[in-house]
Amino acid sequence: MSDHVTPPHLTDHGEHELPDDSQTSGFAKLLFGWTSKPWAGRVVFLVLALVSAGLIAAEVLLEAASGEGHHFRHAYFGIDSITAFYAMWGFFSFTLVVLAGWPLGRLLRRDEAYYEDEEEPAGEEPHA
Amino acid sequence: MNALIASINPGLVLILAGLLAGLTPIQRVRQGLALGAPVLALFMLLAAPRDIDIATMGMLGFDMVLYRVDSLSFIFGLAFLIAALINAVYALHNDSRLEDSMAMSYMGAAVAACFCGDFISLFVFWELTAVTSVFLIFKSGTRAAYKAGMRYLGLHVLSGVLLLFGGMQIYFDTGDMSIRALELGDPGVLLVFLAFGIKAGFPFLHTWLADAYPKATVTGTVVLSAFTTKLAIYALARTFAGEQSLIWIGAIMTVYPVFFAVVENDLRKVLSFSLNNQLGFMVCAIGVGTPLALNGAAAHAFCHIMYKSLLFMSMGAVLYRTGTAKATELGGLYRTMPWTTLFCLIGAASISAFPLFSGFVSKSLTMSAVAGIGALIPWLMLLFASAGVLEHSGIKIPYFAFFGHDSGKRPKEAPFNMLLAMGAAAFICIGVGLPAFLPGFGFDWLYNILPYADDPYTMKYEPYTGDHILTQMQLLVLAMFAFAVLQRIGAYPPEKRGIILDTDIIWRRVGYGFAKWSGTIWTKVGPAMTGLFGTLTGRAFSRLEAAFSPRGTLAKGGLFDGMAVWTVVLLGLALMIAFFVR
Repeated sequence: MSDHVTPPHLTDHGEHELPDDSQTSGFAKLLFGWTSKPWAGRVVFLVLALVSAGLIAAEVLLEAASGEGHHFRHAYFGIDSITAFYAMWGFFSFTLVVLAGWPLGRLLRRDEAYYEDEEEPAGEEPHA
Repeated sequence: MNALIASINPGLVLILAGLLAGLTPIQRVRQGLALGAPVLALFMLLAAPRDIDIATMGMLGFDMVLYRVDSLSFIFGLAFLIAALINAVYALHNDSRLEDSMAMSYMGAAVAACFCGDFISLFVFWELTAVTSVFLIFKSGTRAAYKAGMRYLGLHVLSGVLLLFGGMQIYFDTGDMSIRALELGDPGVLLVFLAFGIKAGFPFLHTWLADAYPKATVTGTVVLSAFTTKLAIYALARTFAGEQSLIWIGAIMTVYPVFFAVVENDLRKVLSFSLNNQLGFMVCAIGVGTPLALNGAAAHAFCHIMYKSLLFMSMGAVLYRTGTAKATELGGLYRTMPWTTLFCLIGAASISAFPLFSGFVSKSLTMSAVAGIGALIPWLMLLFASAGVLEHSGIKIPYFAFFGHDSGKRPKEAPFNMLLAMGAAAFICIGVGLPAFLPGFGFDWLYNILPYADDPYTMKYEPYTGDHILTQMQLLVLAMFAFAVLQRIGAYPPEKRGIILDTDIIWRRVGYGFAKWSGTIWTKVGPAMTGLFGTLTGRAFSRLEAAFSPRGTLAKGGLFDGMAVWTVVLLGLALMIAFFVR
């Protein structure tokens, strides 16, 4: 077992290491089969980018359509009245949390046997 | 007959079923008890009259209220009983008398505790939840589970003791043992607050949660996730609604587990951190204390019990089939576990509060309530944590288990009973999250059973406004876009084997180290002290023997004359002192 797994990527399945789909059920292929296609990562990225842009554009348009002195969006505080506040807060919060994982991992991660012999592999024998 | 049934605390039915299950070696009978007891208890709860003391008892001069239903306890009791039924279905394949018995008794104790009206009864069921639930951790059979179970038991028994002492102190101060709204200040109230804080996973008192839950059995973790902490949330809502410090405690609880979850490898542990984070939303709402906020806390507790159970069930199914819940060893499981994947995604969408899912209609109440009192920083913290929830429960859990890197594992789909339980939980997650197309449908059903359902602001509260939907979608979609960006540039930290240190290092490492050091010192100092003691006592004995033994100094006749003289002198002195002192 390798010590760690490289950052998984939706398009990581290179030409030489296509996953074995011989046991994949029809239902699984129908619902999720697209996620292991080579183009899936790019498409997801593009779709998310487009939807993100669309959501921000929708806010701008709806605010403009609300007319003078009216607001589509109810703001509780001054800061949340900024255009695309929720979008920016979501993006930067997520980025902060994920990037914090690098130093935190180095700072807090220890060997599984750190607490003497307490930590053992979780779980039980697989019921295949 | 109906009146008799309606007068029994429904939790007792589950406890009785648990006792019977413990005596029953036949699995079919235990399955019947596990399914039948929650159904019967549900009917009993629905038949119970509201806002009166249904069952009371006098003991040692205390007036105990054993069963009282009101709008707050009703929704928690209802959620517990639905969870008990779903858990029973999920665990149908389990052939363990001990686990069946303890799980039923534990769930019954939590239900019974909800409907208690005094601190003594609450203490009894509070402790019962601890001593029964710990067996769900022990049953894993590993040394790690045993040790984590002991730590869990220690903290939870301490919580019960604090509750008892606090309750008694309140009684001595006020002459009233009833569970009611309290204000922080008196020592007794502080002890009760601390007792609830341990079970609710307050900062620094939280470590038992991520320590013990992931080490319980596949089915045990699902059971554990629903009851203990939500019982504490109920108790806090009952007694400390409007306590301002809870706003900050809750806000902190939402934020810090997010950072632990991002680096954790064990996906059941990630869910435990996520549980702690979700509790923060409820605690914060209780701190706000307005009817809207308390409705938010209760709605969030109800929805949380369902979607958190669903997520734990999906990870339990993965663990059951593959033998591991570690991200480094999983990936690509959707290929052979599509139904489990689908249910997990529904749980992930619910906890992330996507519109059309339960988390959206419950979290909106809390967010609006916190913003409504002008608490900007806690509100920003909750908003930050909402993006964090999406990271660990919305994306990390399903992505690393079912998609992402292909682990090459091709396990069978989860057993049918597990799928059925997950399906039921998923149905509720979607059912209460839908817009109210008709009265009593979708979120309207949930809002109608909230503690302050008749509160004017809640009655007209509409989660599905364009404003709510747009802002929530912006938050979530842009956060997902951040994930996609970070993945593409390789900035997402790799999953690695290992454990993540938490504040329990203070007693698990420093405390344990001190105890070990003390032990080492004692092994060296102990014999030396024993030797010194032996030498000293030996000498003293030798002297005494030399004086009093038959061959000793006092046995020799030569001293008798002198002793007689000294006795007379001392007696004379004593008489003189007595004479003058008088």
